[in-house]
Amino acid sequence: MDLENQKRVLDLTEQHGKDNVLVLLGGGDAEASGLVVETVMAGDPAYAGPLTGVQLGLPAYHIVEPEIKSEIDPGLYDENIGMMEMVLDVAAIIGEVTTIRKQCS
Amino acid sequence: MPEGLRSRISGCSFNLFHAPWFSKTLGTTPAAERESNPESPFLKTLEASMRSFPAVVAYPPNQVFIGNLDPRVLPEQPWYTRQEGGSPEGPFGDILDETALYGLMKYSDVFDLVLLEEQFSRNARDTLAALPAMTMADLSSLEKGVSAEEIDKAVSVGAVPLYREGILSGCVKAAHPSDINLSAHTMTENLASKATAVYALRQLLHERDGLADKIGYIIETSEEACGDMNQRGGGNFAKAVGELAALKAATGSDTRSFCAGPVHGLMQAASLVAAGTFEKVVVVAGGTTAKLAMNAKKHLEKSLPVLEDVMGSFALLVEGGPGPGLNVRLDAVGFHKIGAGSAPQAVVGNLVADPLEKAALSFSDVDVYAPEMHNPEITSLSGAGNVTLQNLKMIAAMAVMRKEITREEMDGFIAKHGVSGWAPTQGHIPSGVPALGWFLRWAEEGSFHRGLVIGKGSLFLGRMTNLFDGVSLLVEAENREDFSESPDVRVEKEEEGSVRLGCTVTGAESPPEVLREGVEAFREKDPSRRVTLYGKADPGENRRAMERDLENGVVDGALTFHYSFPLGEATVGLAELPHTGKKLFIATTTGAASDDRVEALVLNALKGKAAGRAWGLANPSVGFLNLEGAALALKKIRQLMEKGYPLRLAGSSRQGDGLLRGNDILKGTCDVVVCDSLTGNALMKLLSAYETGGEQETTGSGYGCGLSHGKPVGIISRATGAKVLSAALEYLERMIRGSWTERLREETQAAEKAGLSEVIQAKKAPAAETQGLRTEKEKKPLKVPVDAEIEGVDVLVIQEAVDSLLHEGIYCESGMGCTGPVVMVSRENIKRAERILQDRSFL
Repeated sequence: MDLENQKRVLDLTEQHGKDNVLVLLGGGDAEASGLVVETVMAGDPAYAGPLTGVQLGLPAYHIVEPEIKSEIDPGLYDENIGMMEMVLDVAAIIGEVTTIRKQCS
Repeated sequence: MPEGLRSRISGCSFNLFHAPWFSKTLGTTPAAERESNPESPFLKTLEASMRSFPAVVAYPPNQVFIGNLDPRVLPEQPWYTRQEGGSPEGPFGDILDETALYGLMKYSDVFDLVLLEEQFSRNARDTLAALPAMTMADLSSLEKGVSAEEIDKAVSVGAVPLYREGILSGCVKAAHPSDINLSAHTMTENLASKATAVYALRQLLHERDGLADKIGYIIETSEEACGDMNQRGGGNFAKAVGELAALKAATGSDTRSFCAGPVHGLMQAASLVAAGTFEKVVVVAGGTTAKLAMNAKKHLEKSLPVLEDVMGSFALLVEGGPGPGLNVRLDAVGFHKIGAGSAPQAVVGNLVADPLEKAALSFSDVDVYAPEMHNPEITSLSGAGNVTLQNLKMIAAMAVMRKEITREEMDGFIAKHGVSGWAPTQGHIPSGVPALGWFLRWAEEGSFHRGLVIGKGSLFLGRMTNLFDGVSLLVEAENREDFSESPDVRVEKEEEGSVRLGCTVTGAESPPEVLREGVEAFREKDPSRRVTLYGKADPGENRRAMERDLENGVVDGALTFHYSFPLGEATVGLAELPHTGKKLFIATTTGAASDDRVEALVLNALKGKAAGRAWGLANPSVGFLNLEGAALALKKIRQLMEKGYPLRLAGSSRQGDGLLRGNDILKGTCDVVVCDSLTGNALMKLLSAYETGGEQETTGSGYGCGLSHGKPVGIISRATGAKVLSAALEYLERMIRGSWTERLREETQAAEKAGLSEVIQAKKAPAAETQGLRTEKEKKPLKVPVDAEIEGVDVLVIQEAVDSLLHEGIYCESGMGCTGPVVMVSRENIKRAERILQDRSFL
């Protein structure tokens, strides 16, 4: 996960508290999405960024996951995400993110 | 398009510069590693992982970049394994080595910041002097280099060293003792960018006499910044580049928008021309050293060489008025709006859907979409996936959102409207623009009508905004009819000299990839070969495109499957014999020379001889296969020969009747075997597909060509393999080069002189003479034992021959021997019978 983004997540969490932060992902790659989930839950596995050794335990979801999709107005979702849903390997992303989330819980 | 808004892209130049030293040192990835971890294993393996110049030239995507290899026929990956082949010179530009690159930097240096070692400098001067693009360039700054000691000294106080094959060959000094914007590193980056841009511009202009004086404006669109501490990106690369390309009448400025810069520049250039501000404008960009070896860590982890080892540069000419090229649709420019947000859907909407809507076009009206044309081998193996394909998927998904295609049609849409990327990691260089070289080529060949060039830029990298950027331009091939009388075009065609072929690659049993591989193999042997591909899903569309190109002279001949020729046209196949590998012309294999079997066989002999001569055989031997009508046809050919038609007849190795048997074909006792088209077709298939059990044709050169629209159309089977397709293209090319139609005209004239028409008209003579004889069968002579055989009477007239003898009181019977029909008579009657049959032209 990008070091700059790690810092932003850390700062926001410190500012608003763990209970008020959810990390929502929009990246196109399943493996990279899984890494972000791991980083914001259990710490930076690459031991490179500000989240190294920091277990924020933040809830992290990808926008194509049903838990998130069902919360969004279908028209709005289609207008913004519909196209990319066709392009991305949605099943792989959900599978990876779910697995990592379980592992880190 | 509204009148007045007319400007077209009429020329291009695309060049690559092999830069192994810069890759190892100035690329940000190795540079950052050296800074943070100088002992890293990555840096240790980097040195041994650089490619040689021949490997860089051989790399298929690089051959596409300079115009030698059509991106539609890029071979399957891996590409990096190719170590040889290709040419450093292409129709779009050149691939230059490090000596030329350093020489160009010195040529581009007007502040004496580049020092080159004496001997190296002279080598560099000689290298540059040999390049056509550098004709008339003042290379005097390379006449005299400096000593190695002087270079050592400069490097010791901070100059950037220039190594070539491990030898310190020069350096770039800082332009200011403390200003970071004029540091040795920045000057090296900027001079490398300037030098590569200068070459692109010179390459664009050198073959166009007088054009340099007509360029009014230069738009430079790289990603570098030149200026000092008081104006970091003050500019102006454009004028600096123009100065060294002798654009004395021009001014210019720099346009920046990360990778989208070139398409912004192109939009501005087209607008300036359409507005009449300038008659001609060039858009130019040099390469970047920072992005060299950018993904080398990941490539080296996979034991690949450093694939990002070249800088790229390009120049595009934009002008107004009628002429060949690509019209820029200024009425339908796509651009990412500030308020649109950065979601992919918004970006694709702005860059693809919006311009199409403005132009009242559907997604399928665009022949080829050219988004980021990154080399997928580089990006996939570094974990970024196939960037071009991802973009094409987004465009297809947008077409689904707009209900123009169904979700199931997405893959087909991508295959039809996209091509693989091929550009090296050079930021602004891959972003849409490289496709313009091929768009221009395809437009010239007539196989392309409309494309969408999309440039995208990641503005957030500059930390000034989180916005994304992009511009897209619809370009359309100029209607050829509009300038068919233009003298420029005529000259271009006359100078061409090469044979231009068309080739259908879809609609066969063999997959398009296999057929494209064949085309690529054909082109690899001679990169100057030009092949227009017809790859639409609809065979009718392919056929119409091919016929249009033949008719318009866009191609000199074309190869296709399953073409119906008019009666009179028949094709001569070229098989390769098993065991000996001898080439055998099979006349004929498709079509029909005549609706009369015997006449067709006679004419096939002429066609076969003409094909053999066009191929290069001075006097090919011709034999008739022992088939129905062959004996009659052979007799007529002999009559022509008696009257002076020159033909070298080949007989059977076994039989004395002059007719070939099956084993004669395998033995190759003649150069040309004459048979009817159905038989010839079966022979071709047997000889071409026996290796695969009939699955695919793997030997031979296809079924030969017939005329359509006055041009040769070559035929291949729908089960053609890559090797046969390549050979068939060569066969077709050789027929064109060997003036096959002229050879055929000569053969026909010579045969006519020997009485061809009369000989053919006399075909029914034996039958005519025997008319009514059957009614006299009751006068049949007494049956006697028949113990002798007369061979050589054609099966088509065997009954008439029997009736003739019966009429003369000779008892006989017809029969079929193991090699053909026979007339059976008694030994006592054989001589008289033979004489009668000879007299009546049965023998």
